[in-house]
Amino acid sequence: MEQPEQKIATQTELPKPAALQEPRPSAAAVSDTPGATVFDSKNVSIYYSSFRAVTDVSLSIYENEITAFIGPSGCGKTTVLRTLNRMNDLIPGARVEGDVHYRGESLYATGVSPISVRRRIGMVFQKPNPFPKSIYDNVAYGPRINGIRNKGKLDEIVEKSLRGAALWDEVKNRLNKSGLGLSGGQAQRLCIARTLAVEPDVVLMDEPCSALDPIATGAIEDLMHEIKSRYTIVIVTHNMQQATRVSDRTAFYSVLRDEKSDTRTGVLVEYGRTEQIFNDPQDERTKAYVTGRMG
Amino acid sequence: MTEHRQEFQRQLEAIEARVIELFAMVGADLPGATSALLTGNNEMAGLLAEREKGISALYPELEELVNKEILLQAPVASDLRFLLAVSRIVPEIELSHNLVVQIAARADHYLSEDLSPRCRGLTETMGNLVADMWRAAADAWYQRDSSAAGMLSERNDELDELQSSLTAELASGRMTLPVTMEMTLVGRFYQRLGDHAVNIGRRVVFLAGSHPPRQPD
Amino acid sequence: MAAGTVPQQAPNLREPKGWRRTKNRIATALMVLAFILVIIPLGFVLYTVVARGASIISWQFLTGSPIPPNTLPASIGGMWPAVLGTLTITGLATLMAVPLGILGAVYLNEYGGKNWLATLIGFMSDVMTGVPSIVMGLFIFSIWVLHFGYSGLAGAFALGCLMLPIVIRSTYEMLRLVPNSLREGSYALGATKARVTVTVVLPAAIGGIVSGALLAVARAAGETAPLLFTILTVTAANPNVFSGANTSLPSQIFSNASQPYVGAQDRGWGAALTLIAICFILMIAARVVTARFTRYSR
Repeated sequence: MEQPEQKIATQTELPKPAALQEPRPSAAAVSDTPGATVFDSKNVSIYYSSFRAVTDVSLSIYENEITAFIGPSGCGKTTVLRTLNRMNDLIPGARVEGDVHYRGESLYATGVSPISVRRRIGMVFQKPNPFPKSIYDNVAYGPRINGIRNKGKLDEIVEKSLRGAALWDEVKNRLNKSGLGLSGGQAQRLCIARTLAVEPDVVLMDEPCSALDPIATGAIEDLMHEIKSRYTIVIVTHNMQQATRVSDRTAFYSVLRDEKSDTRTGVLVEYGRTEQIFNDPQDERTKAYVTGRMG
Repeated sequence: MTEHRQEFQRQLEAIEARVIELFAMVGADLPGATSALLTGNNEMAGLLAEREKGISALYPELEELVNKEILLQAPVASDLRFLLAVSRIVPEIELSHNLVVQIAARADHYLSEDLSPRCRGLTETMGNLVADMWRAAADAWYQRDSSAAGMLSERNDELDELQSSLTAELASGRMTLPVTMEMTLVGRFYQRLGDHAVNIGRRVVFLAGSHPPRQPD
Repeated sequence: MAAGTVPQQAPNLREPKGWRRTKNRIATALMVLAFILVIIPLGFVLYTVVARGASIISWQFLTGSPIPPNTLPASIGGMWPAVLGTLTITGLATLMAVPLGILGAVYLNEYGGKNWLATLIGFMSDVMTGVPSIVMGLFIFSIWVLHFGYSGLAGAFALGCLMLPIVIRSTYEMLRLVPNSLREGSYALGATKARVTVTVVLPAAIGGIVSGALLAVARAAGETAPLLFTILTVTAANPNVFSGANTSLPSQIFSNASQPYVGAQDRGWGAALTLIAICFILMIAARVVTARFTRYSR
């Protein structure tokens, strides 16, 4: 009886299956230790004249992540997004209380120029808004207002930005045609190229795919994944599947009704990693919203 | 909640009801199988075999329902966890009931007479323990109680010890060879039932998420 | 599911007979009638001017100088002084009124918002639209001509005052039509308000602005009353628009039409046709310019 046992003892170890051999790279990326803090909002409330649109929002946005803002209509997610690049300044009567820090510097301190803020923090809007100029001039617009006049340099920037927006191959032979002649998906990619041309640090997107068909939406989502490593992206979306497909972190906003004064205001309900928000939301309101039982 | 969502909620409740029914069936049939085995009552096996046929139709129906809801409703959060948990425990329940039927099938006049007292005692204890574990698993499912998993694991260890004792008793050669062989199998069946109960406990942890158990009505 | 159903009748999509159809036809007929009524006087005017004036037009008529006395027939002498006068005075008025009007409208729309100055400017501009042209002429007469004498410049001032509210109003409307999303897109790229206005808003509205300005010019070119007290009406060409009395086509039409002589009448018709031709050319120029500037808007 000895020998069979010995045979078993000296048998070499089975090779480890390939699936277990190296650590999966995506697993490391999904860890909960974020990179640098890009935005830090503290107790931000936003008023339009005397109406308090958003109350007491505090959250941090991290570098090279895609953060999604979700929530029902009228909950202030676009308003909060616009505080990140001072676009609310354009609305008469808009006022921000609390503070927003961008990489350590306050965005709302006296003396801060909204122009220089917006050069570093770009924005793509819900409805594509290409300028009534040629495609080339649309993309070159940003660099031109930043002082770049050299034609060769501009050509380079235009090509790079259009490639970055996955639009180059479709328009390279008609750069001098009007930007208004593009389809919805192409126009939105043109707007993204235009935003990327000034090489911002952050790209804010306000429901960028809501006016687009599924194929164009897919192209833009691919684009977001591709450029994530070079930019920080914050996206407002009312499409929850998009939030789950695209974002690393999700913030859920909702409307708070004050029964006594019958006023409504937007509040941040829950903020966390996307898998956690959609798998196991902590707040009942978040759960009601993501499972479609709200309202 | 919209009409559409209310319909979805009703479907989820229907699935839950079926799952509870399946649990109940295993829970009821298991002690019956144990006592049939020990008293040599081989009619039980016939009854259970009939029941098995009926239940076999239920499993694919339930799976179909779960697949449809996942496909069409794109559920998230607790809905998704529920549907995934159901699709994972249905095979466990199916196999468990199969094991119960197998145990009852071993019941035989000659077998029960021939059991040594120690063997009989161990079998009865194992049968009761497994029945308890199964009841606990069903309760854990119903209440979404994730703490049950730990308890079930401990009791499974207990079951394993009983199984070792049973093996030792059988190895002592006090009973005839056919009886020994049958009881070896029966011991394994009980052990596998214990494993299934533990698996269900683990699925309940996934199902419960981070939420506290819901109180029984 | 379809197998056992009763065969359906084809839906009736034809226009329902009855009162609704008749009402539609009556309305259409009335509109066509109204259109014809409008066209008739226009057509009649054009026909008359062309019929009466075509025979007078010749190269000599357009370039000959000075304007001969009324008693002589129209084939002698020419209208050059008037043509020159119209071109220079209207040109000068345009140079003054159009940039000012565009800037004013830009202020009203982009910068002023609801503040008191913008409201005041807007209100005043609307009031000015309603001021009779002869009052403009008298106004310039009393503040300028009495001190500095008659000149084409004074006439240009008067015409400019007439053009200014038109340019402001049409430019303002064109700027308002530029969608706000374009402005936001520009701001989001880090442009200052001035940059946004100059590089995005004005180019987007330029078609409408230019055509509005050209319409104002065409209107001013045809005005007589404001020029009565500001330029006097002379018969010799005066290339110096800044001093000395001047003349213009409308003034000449007026003075010639008031004379009983056949030659004068003929000269009047010829001047009228020339003026209409100039306005026509300006209209076509407006169309061409608009098309050129809006080629990226489609």
